[in-house]
Amino acid sequence: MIGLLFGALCLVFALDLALGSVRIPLGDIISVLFGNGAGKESWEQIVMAYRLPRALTAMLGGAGLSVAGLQMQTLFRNPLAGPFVLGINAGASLGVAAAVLAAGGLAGAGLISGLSVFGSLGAVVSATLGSALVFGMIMLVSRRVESNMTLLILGLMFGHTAGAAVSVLLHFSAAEQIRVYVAWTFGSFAGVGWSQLQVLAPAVLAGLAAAFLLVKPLNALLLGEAYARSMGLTVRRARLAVLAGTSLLAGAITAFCGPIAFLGVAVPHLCRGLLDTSDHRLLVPAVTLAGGVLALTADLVAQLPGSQAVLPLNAVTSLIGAPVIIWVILQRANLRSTFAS
Amino acid sequence: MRLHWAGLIRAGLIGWPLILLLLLALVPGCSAGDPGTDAPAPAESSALDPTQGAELGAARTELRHAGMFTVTYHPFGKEVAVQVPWRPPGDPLHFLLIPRGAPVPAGFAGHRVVEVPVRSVVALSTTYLAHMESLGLLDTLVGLANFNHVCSPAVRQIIDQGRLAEVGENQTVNVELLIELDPELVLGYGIGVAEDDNHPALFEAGLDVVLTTEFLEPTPLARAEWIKFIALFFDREAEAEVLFSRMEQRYLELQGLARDAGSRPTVLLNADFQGVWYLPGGRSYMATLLHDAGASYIWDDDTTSTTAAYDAESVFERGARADFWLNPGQARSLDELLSLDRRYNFFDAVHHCKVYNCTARLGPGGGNDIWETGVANPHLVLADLVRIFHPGLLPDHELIWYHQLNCPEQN
Repeated sequence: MIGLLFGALCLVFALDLALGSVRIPLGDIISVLFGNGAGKESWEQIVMAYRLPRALTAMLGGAGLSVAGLQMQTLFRNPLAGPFVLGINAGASLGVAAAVLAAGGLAGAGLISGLSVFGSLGAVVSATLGSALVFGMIMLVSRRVESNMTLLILGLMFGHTAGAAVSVLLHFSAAEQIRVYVAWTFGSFAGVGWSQLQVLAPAVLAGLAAAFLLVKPLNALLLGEAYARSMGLTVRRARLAVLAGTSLLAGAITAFCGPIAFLGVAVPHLCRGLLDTSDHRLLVPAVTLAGGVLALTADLVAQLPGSQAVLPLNAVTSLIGAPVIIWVILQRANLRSTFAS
Repeated sequence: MRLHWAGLIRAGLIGWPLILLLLLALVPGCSAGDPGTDAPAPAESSALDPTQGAELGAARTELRHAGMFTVTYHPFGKEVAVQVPWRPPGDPLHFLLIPRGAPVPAGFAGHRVVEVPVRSVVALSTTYLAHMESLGLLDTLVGLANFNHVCSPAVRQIIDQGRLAEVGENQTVNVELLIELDPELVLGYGIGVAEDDNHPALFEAGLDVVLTTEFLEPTPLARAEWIKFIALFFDREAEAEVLFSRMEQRYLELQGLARDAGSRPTVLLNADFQGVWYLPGGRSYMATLLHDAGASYIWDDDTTSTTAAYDAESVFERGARADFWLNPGQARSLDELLSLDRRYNFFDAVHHCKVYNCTARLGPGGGNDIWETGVANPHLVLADLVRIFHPGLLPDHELIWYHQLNCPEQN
């Protein structure tokens, strides 16, 4: 099954490179990838500067969010948990909303003034600050709070508080500034170029590596904190590591790609269904691959290959993802066995 | 009204692209930036004297370009119909303008009635200010939506004197303040999006609101012709006709000049936002301006007048070889532009330092004067563009709203 997922990942990655609004012959794409140039100079630049970083971002983003979601579901033993359950994305949103408003305040009128002042670079910086703020609070609180359930509720409360602050900010901002914010919430893998990937890729790879190293503690946590402790696990340290890894993944990806919904909650369920297991030694690699596959597929559809138009990524992830997940879950009702407590 | 933002954001995942596009369509590409210096009125526009050499009197408005409103003269008054985006074509909003004190004629009970000439006005958009200023009507102004957006020194002066009320814009409009101001006319606009529009609340409050849709006019002359719309409410049709005819004449002269220029450089607009370019259609206001200035917009073959979202690579494929690049977001230098996205390096216009932005004139609050004075003076905006694309044709014209992004090599 893992092999199959890997094959699927390679296939959609290749498709994501091959298809786009500009029609480029397959031969030219392969030639560009091997450094031999293409029939047209612009094709070479499109493949190397646009499609390749975009496909890599989608792969990393999908894998990162899905693994973060898996870790949260396990840590909180809650099938509804996702990478954003701790309020990381709300923190990022708050950062972006505040930046848009501040930029708009500077810029005044002009319907898309905020958008331009702020640019995609501004989004990254402010989203990073926002998610780092929430992350810091979670870390601080997690040192004092023993129960994971309490932590989960606190995370939700952080999220709601940040969301409320966003609402207040938006309420007092002009329509054009709100639009900038809304455009950011659509999510996109396309805003990331090579220079941004130099930051995003190490962060995601570090987060993924942490998840692979944590498979044993995760398996133990699945059986409950008391059991994990009896297995000789330092629950507190494991929890801290899981939280740090998840926050890194969710924060970095949200900062660069916007709050991408759905994947993080859904992919772990998809993999549990496909593999019929809750063993993290299998789940972590499977979720990594499946997350990449789904994100690349969503990106592919969002680009509407052959047309010049684009769809909001967030709409696509949910539209194509939800039916798949529903089908898998209905096929194999193993949720209960995983999350029974 | 108060809780809708949360829903808006959630709905944003699917419902908002259309709204976003519609709104972005209203004002193409250019934008405001850092608070700049005082923006004096453009040299040529102030030279227009409405009373000079014209026969004033019972002139009747005739429209040559504007398509979003019509005027019908009746013995008892003027009937104005404004086409609004949320009603089907041919089903406009009707306003009846009758002389002060006159009775509302039979058969017009359903119309919104305004008594003219109007003596006090609240303007909810800065686009009316330039028209009011050139018609000499600024002393009727009692309120504005947001002082920050204002560029006109004359209007800023009245603001500084404390003679205007700031009533708020869109959903933050202060209806109570408006009711207390009790203006005889509120000039507003609506786009048919419940989250943004405030006119239903204003209508409900019994205010005399008239909606304008000049932003939907796809050509610069049509937008500027709305000076005649404003004039209707003050019985100043004759002055408006004189002012507009001069602008029109100069615009058409420049258009002819550019048409015979021989070359038509290609032009790219706007900038990348997270992999998406929001570009005006090939029949939009901005595209018409470029065409009239003797340039070829890279999306010329498009037949829409609205803004659409385009994938970055398709814009790159079409735009990388464009001769000029206009309105690249907020950037004020090429260095700044490249710091936003290194891939801009691949664009020819960047290499040849032919990138221009329309952010030369920003008001003290950051408002961009091109959307205030510029829209009302299309001949001057056109002159800016002709100067950029065909410098030889207008050697003496100094750019008003546009400026060239300085090249790193030239520093």
